[in-house]
Amino acid sequence: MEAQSAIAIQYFHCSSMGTRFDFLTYGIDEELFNTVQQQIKQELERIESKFSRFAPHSEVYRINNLAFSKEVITDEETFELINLCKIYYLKTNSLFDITVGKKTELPFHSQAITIQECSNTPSHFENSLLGADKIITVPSKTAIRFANPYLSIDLGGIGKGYALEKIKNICLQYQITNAFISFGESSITTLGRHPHGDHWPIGIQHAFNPGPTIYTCKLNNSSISTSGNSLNNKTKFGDRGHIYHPKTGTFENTPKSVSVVCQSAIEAEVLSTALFIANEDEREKTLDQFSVNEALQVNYDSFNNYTIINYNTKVNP
Amino acid sequence: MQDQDNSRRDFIKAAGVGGLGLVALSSPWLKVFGDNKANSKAASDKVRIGMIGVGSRGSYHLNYLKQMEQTDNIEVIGVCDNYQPHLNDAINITKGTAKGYLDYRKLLEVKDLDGVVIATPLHMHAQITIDALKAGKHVFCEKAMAKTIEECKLMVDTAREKGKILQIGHQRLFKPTYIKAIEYIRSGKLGKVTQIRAYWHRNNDWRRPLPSPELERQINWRLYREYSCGLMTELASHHIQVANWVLGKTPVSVMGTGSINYWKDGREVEDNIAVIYSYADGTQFVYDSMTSNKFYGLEQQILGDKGTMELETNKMYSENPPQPAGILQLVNDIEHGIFDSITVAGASWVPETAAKNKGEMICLDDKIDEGKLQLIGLVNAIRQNKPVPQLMEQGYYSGLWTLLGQQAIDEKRIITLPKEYII
Ligand SMILES: NC(=O)c1ccc[n+]([C@@H]2O[C@H](COP(=O)([O-])OP(=O)(O)OC[C@H]3O[C@@H](n4cnc5c(N)ncnc54)[C@H](O)[C@@H]3O)[C@@H](O)[C@H]2O)c1
Repeated sequence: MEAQSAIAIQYFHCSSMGTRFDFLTYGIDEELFNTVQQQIKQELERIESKFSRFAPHSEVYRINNLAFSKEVITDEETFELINLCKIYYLKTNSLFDITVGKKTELPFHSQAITIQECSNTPSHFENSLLGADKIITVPSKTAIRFANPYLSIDLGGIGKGYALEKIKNICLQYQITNAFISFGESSITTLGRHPHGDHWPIGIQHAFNPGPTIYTCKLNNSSISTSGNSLNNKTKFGDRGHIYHPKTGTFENTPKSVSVVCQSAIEAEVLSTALFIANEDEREKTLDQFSVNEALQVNYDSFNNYTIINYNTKVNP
Repeated sequence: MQDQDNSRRDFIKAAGVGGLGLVALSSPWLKVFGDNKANSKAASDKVRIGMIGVGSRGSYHLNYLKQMEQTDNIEVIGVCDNYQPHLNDAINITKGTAKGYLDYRKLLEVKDLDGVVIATPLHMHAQITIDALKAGKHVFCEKAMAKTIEECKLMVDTAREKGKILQIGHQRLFKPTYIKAIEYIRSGKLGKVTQIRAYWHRNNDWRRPLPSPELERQINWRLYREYSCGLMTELASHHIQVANWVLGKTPVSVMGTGSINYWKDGREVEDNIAVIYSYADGTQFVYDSMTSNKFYGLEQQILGDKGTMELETNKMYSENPPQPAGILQLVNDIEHGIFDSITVAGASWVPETAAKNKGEMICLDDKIDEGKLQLIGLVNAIRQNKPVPQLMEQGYYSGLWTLLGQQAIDEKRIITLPKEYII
């Protein structure tokens, strides 16, 4: 028989933002945990209903519907978040782009554009119309405007990271200093450490041959996000990849994954998306703009073989 | 329409070749679609039907039966209603091909009539059914089965004695969503089902327009105890039938209450009720109905320790979305003092999609009109000339427990089923 540790684990999960949300902490008072759990759930619901572009009462829905015909005055939080996305658009050489969301939708989804539209390479004309730089922001009025009617905002590529940051703050407010917080295991943030070690070890699996860990990242008050064409995504997305390249107008479909570890859950998410589609030049330029702990690319050339490239250019400057 | 026809044909075909798997056990009446003779076009196999009571529901059936004249080798030879305007309308629906009768007994005298479809007010169900069975006719009678438990029992006894089919019009028994749902439930998808909840809420007076005031009781028969038990027999009976079907058994007791707290317009039946049925294993079926608020509408929820179904809206929710292996392992590691890496699936951000966590559909193809399917079932059964497995029993026990629920409301006490009513 193994010795049972005396550590009390506090754990809950729920569905949020189209995936599963998991929260794990340990050694805190049960009642406090209940309070925190309620707060987190409320915050998740709040964020989802405010920023989902499908919810007819959401702020993003309202902006998408109105912002071409008139200037939409929004609240400070929404304004800041959109502004942040614009900044990331610039910092990632236009690779992270909240205006290409529509292109990435599943073809069989009711609100999705048609398969044909999906597989068509968009013309230069169309490309020149998209881009977060074409969202006009007026800070004095916290107002948003679209430069053309083709624009719409999809915060799906940053929403989970944003929520993770918010939840981190809730934890800190309640003096929870150790936690493992995950959105569908693809966006994870951590506080403090694993109860039996000095960090949270996150093991990356072979995407096409799930089994043993092929690389382990150490997280301590840091976050990881992974973008990839795994088996799961393959079956879901057919043979095209699901990350749309805003410049080439194609979907990235090489069998690979990119994981980024950095402090901010938002930046980890932004970067894993951007680096997934970046060419060498773009990657270097982009990494120059951020502080990342690790940026890993796993290339798969068969069900067994893979190579790991670590673009660990800057370690916690 | 075309879609519906195709779906129905596929469904019947699948049922016929035993393609329904587990369903054969949970919905055995679907075997009625399994006999080749079912679609026989031989003149000798023509099924001759009479329609008794052609008001709102009756005309609906009549329209289907007329369609089936083209596809299912049947003929509607007579229509009967004791209210002349409705009788005239019905004859018009048949374009004059069916003969009209004001007295159902005259219709029952027709020699080559094989079966009747009865859609009269509740208080007439038993009398007409029994007379028809005694006249050697097969019977499809609308729900609820009858107005008293004695009548229900007598209907069953007569059908058995005469060797005739008695089918009660619970159309959900033929609805793909329900059939699929029950199959899922039996296979354990919801885990242990420990509660069923259902409600039927409306916000209207449940009255029909009167051509002239003295017709009040005749037209608005639902509101008077002489003809009906109101919300229990007219609405609740459907969900009681489904609850029994889901659990694969019948209740052991029922308690209930009800009142007239809004529509004080001379009606004699409650305008709101609440009943709780208990099953032998302690499972409860909690039901309520009201007529002064429609916000929640109509729903039947099946609650199990692994998931939930909302049958009226074809939705299914998992209690616990599958736990990622990595997180399971993490919890296990911590508990055992192990420090090991947390393996993550390493998927990526999936673009935001709508309504992902809003449950999934139970049945993807539910275009079939179960109202018509149950009539096709009836005609097949008549042609096969043998009772359909379990179908009468479904109607009987739901009718019985509907009436016992009403008794609980009336007598303000817990009611159990007298032994002699077990069939
Ligand atoms: N399965 C369902 O979803 C569903 C839906 C609606 C109604 N129903 C059932 O159908 C039955 C009829 O309901 P409805 O809404 O059509 O009522 P309705 O009042 O519209 O029709 C009843 C008809 O029966 C006729 N009738 C009365 N006594 C008769 C007699 N002795 N002989 C011949 N005809 C007679 C009436 O004149 C009337 O035309 C009820 O049992 C009801 O519960 C079932």
